[in-house]
Amino acid sequence: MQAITAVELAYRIAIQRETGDWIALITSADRSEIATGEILNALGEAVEDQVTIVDASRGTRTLTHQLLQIRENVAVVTGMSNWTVEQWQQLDGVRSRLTRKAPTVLVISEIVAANLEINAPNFASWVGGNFWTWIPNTDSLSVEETERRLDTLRTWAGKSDAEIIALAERGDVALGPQYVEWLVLLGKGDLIAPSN
Amino acid sequence: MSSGSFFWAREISLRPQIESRQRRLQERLLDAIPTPHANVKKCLSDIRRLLITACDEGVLMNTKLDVIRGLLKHSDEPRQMNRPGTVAIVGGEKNFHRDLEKAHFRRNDDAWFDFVITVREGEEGVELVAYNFEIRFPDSCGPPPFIRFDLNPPGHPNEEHGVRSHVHPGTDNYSMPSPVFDPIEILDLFLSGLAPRNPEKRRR
Repeated sequence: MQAITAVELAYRIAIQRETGDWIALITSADRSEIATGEILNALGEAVEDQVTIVDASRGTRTLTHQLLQIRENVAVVTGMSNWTVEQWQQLDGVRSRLTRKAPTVLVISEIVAANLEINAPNFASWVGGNFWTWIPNTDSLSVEETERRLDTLRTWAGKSDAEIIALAERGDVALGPQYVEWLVLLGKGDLIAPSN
Repeated sequence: MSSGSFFWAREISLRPQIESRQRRLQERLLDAIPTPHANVKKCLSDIRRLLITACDEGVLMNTKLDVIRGLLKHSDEPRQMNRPGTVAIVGGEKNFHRDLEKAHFRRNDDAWFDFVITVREGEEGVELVAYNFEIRFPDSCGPPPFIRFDLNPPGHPNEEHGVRSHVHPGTDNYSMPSPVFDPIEILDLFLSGLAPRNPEKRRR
């Protein structure tokens, strides 16, 4: 199973926008809220139309009903963690009624994914190759990337971090965009003068 | 009177007038600031969507994964304990020496660019504090070799000379006043506006 960030998955879904594909995004149970938040934000960015979150905790019938009401919207389904074997089997039985005109993302844990594959094998085959393991978004600069940028700035200016901070604290440095970035990367954005 | 002192005399009478007009021009330009993005995440997401669409349409030679995983990033506020809202959004590696080996965005005509934007999130949305966008052109495009848009932060000495926001037209030695652009507007220029008007008939 391949790892994917919410942003990458959302842009994949944007390409499949007109399909009724089912996608399982697998996360650890304690991080499913974060994963759900990220995929909702990312879909909002990539798909550019309404994305609906569907709570499946009340079982198959409610889920089916809700999904059919929003057949053309991209849907993100949560709340399957307590589903019983019977509920999975019901889902497998009514799968033909779940034909939609937009992608559906199930945010589920590894245990739930295993239950799905065992108890709803036909539905699982619909999902097919669309089982993905969620990894957090990678849009923050890593420690290494931050250090590399800082190193480039130090070499360019021939100054140390401490010198730049001291200059900024005294307010007598011509702070061009490069120095501003430098201070922000050091966590010293508060030394940048406010706008008038 | 020597010619040298004549020019000196003209300079001291002209300079205050010119600088005063330059500051008025700057005030006009800075008054026309772009509508702020709602927050940093929205700003980042608007930029990402534009760049990914450009990849999809073949305007950029980078892949979507290049954009998502490697090129477009932001400084991490909580870990680095910035005052709430001061964030650097970076596109491509830091590249003072215009080194092609460093990660960058590449257009389908081999023009290439990178950028850094510093924004501050406030109650009324995202305030642009500073930016630096530079696009470099391959020799086949003819001059200029590069164009850079700089917005210096408030209080920078060049604010006195009316060029807090300026553009370098192919040389670091010269700059001229520029409007303050929304980052998306500069990227629009980089993706479609700043290219030879007629590639078949280049003028020098």
